[in-house]
Amino acid sequence: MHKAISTFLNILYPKKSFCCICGCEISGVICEVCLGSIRHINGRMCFKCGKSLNDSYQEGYCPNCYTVPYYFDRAYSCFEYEGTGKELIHKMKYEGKPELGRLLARFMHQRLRHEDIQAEAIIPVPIHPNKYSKRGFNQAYIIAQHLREYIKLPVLDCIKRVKETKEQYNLDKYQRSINVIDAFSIEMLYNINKYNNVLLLDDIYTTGSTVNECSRILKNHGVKAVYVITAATGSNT
Amino acid sequence: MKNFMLLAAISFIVGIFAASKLLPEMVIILGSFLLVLVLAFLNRHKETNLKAVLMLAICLFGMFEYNVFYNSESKLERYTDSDIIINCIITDDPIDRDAYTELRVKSVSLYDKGRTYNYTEKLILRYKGTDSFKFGDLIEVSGKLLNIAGKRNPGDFDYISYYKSKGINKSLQIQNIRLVAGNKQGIAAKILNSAKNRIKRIVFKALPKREAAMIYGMLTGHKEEIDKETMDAFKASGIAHILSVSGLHVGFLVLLLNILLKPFKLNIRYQGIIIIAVVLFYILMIGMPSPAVRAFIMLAVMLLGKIINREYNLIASISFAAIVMLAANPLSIHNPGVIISFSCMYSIALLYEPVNKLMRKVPKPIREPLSLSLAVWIGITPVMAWYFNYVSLISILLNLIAVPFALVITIVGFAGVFVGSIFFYGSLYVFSAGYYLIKVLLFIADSSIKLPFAGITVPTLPIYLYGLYYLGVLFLVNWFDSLHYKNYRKYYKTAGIITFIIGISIYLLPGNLTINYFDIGQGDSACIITPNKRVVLIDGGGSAAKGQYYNDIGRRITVPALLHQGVWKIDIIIATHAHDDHIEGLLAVVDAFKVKNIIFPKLDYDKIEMSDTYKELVRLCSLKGTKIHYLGKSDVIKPSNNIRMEVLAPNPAFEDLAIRNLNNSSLVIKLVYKNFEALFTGDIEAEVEAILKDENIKADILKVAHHGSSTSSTKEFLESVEPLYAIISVGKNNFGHPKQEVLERLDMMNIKTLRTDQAGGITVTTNGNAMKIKTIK
Repeated sequence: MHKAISTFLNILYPKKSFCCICGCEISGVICEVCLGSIRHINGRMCFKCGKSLNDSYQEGYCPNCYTVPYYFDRAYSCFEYEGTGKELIHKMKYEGKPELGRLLARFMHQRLRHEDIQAEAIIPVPIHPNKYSKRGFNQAYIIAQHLREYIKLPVLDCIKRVKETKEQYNLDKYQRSINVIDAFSIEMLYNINKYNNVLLLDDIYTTGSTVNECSRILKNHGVKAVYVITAATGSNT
Repeated sequence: MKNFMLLAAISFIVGIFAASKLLPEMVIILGSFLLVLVLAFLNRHKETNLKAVLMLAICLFGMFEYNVFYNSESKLERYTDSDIIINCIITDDPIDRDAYTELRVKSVSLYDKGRTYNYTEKLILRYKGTDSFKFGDLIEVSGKLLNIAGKRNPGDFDYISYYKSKGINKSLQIQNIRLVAGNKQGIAAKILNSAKNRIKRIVFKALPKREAAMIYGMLTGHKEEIDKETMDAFKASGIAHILSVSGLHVGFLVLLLNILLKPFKLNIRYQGIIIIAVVLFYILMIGMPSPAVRAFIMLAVMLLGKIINREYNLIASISFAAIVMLAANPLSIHNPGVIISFSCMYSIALLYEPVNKLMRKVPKPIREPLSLSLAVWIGITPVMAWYFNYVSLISILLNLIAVPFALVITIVGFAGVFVGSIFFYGSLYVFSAGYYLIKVLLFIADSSIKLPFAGITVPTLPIYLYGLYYLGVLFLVNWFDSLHYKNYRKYYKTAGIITFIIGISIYLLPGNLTINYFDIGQGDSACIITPNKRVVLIDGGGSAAKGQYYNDIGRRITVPALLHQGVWKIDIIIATHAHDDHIEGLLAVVDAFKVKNIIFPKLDYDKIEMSDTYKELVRLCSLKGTKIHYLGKSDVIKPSNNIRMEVLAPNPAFEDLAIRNLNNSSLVIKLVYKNFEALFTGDIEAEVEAILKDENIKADILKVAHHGSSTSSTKEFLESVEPLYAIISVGKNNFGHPKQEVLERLDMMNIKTLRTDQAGGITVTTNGNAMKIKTIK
């Protein structure tokens, strides 16, 4: 019965057969050319925040992570937030194409496959209910749902956004960090303290303020280690 | 091809369409043939083959379902043509036609020989009295139960199927009507109807009549208040869709609701549920017109997609709506509203993008609306030409202006009604904004149809040409490339071009000679189409007894009948004699078509007092540049190569006969095509027949003179003509035509008789040797 319904839904809502970036005809969400133009983070990266490091820069941490303490243990990111990658995130978030979540989840899976993290749950970064009703979905939650099919971990939607914060993108680094203070709370229903390692999931990592704040309250509630996976990261240095 | 829903819808429509055109027996044969194909496919295990099997199954199901629905019999079948007494509830507001009031009712019980039967069935009542009834009244009526009047001439609109698709099989000519009780409708219907009446009250109280009728029509789709001139202007300029509730209005309503609900910041689920509920109430209130139902289904699919995070696909949801609506009632294929609505949506879905791409030179602000309007026009033109024989050219541009206007007016209308239902005088302020917009819209519609090239009249073409048109359009926009059958691309392109050439050449190559004896009531009209598409019209019908049974025969029957025969222009009109039942209809024909020649009998017109109709016809012909000829005995008309039309009368030697009785001035024409001969006698009487009987007047088909009057068709004349078939062109009349003695005489001489009042239009097709006769009924 379940299969019949899902077949019917697949027929009623057939999968998009145009590339969402360039509009050419393919069977999937994105064509080979556009896929190739995404700048994945493959080379040296910061051991803390996961941003790619310039070749001329010799240290293992980026200058930012030397100076600012973060609550999370390690952050990973799939591609640079620019060009095709930026467009991909925008299509998903602002043009209402949640089906791109599967692609992003696949990228995350590829990034995490060789990393040794013993996460026990995936925790998506929430959006405020007002924004949710406007957009209709939480992009991080959708990516998490798809990622669950790859790495077989439970998804806990245990963080709530209690403060409607300003959009981060036109704020500077300092404003961002104070913008998100006390913006989140933990839903006690999930017994978050029984998990030792969790994977925090978000779409973009720019200065890390959002995931840092989330990590802070997670750790306050007894989580031992917080790993962060994001789809895109703003370039640094 | 990813979109299986489209394929399923296409096969379903094809199945239903095939069943509507074929006989049930043929469906069974075709079905079993397809089943064999299915079994052949079942041996393989590929996904495409599974799809093919499914499509065939859907196609067969469509055929089957159509036949089940079409052959379902009315419960009142055995009372047809007899007087009955029934109790019924009025289910819709009475519609005021010119000569009578039309009531849509649902029967409750039927009295027959002292017993009561509870038959529930929808009926149409025709009622000529003065008492007024309203929605929900329980009435007792007695009268004659009739079948719905069907087609009269080939190509006419099929009212039987149309009403059948609405569940109506019979009509009742009311003799007595009596109110039993009021307000008998169900509670839901009561609420819906009072909401509708409330809108009507508010709108008509706040605005002058013409504008109020427009707003009321735009809000509820009830067009009966709109005067005929406005309606005609809107139809001719191709923007009538903004007056009837179409998918557009549902879209406007959703837009309005979205704006209203925005401040509440609702969860998308609740917002969806609210929108669905309001729209459902709305379309129930306006009586579920099919375009609105279609829009509702698509809206539901869209909102569901939002809730379960699936991307909406326009083509799939249109196809889904088509399947749902046709599965619920396959007879909808006879409903022009459904066909127009869906062809409109499909043309948006398939043609908008390519047209938009084509117009990249056009400045951006008008590119999108223009390409939308053009895409719809391209897709919908054949449908409009098929149903209305009219193509509006101005509509492409006019829609650019009219649709935004309609959007604002509709929203103002909804807002005004909303305000007015709380505080009436408040609504005046709201409506005042809409008032001037309607004025402008009315002005645009009125003035646009006066423009030259506002639209053209197009005859009905063979149905395969419409198929070729769509095939051509899809090829031009490279739609077939999206099918992902790359290996076959070469083949289907070649196949497409070959089909195109074959189709066009079938239309252009010489065919058979066809003679159509039209059913135009009491009068004469026959149209001859020669193998190379020359058109000869012999008489145009008309009303001998004006106002009694017939009015405006030419415009209502002759012109549409000619259009349905695929007539672009008329080469020769033969007006046999100057009586109204032969030439009155020609006025409309000369007005509507380009006519090259017109032929009158050669007479000394100074000696006869001619009727006004004749003078008007001659005036109109000289005005339109039609050549006027006067022919008499031994003249020959050659409309095309191997066709001779010999004129046998009037004979100038016997002119006094013609002067005494205009009937005897009739042109008598014998058509010869190879071995086929047909005789057209006009209204000649015994005197002329006596003169003619010694000539070579032998013919296969005789049009019986003077509608079967006893003053014509003498035994000697019939013996010398010796026809296989005799055709009597006659309708309801006071003269007693056709006379019983003539019918008996024909019968005695073993001549098969066909009457247009019984058989409808009669079509004779011949290749010069064999002939085929087809009648409508």
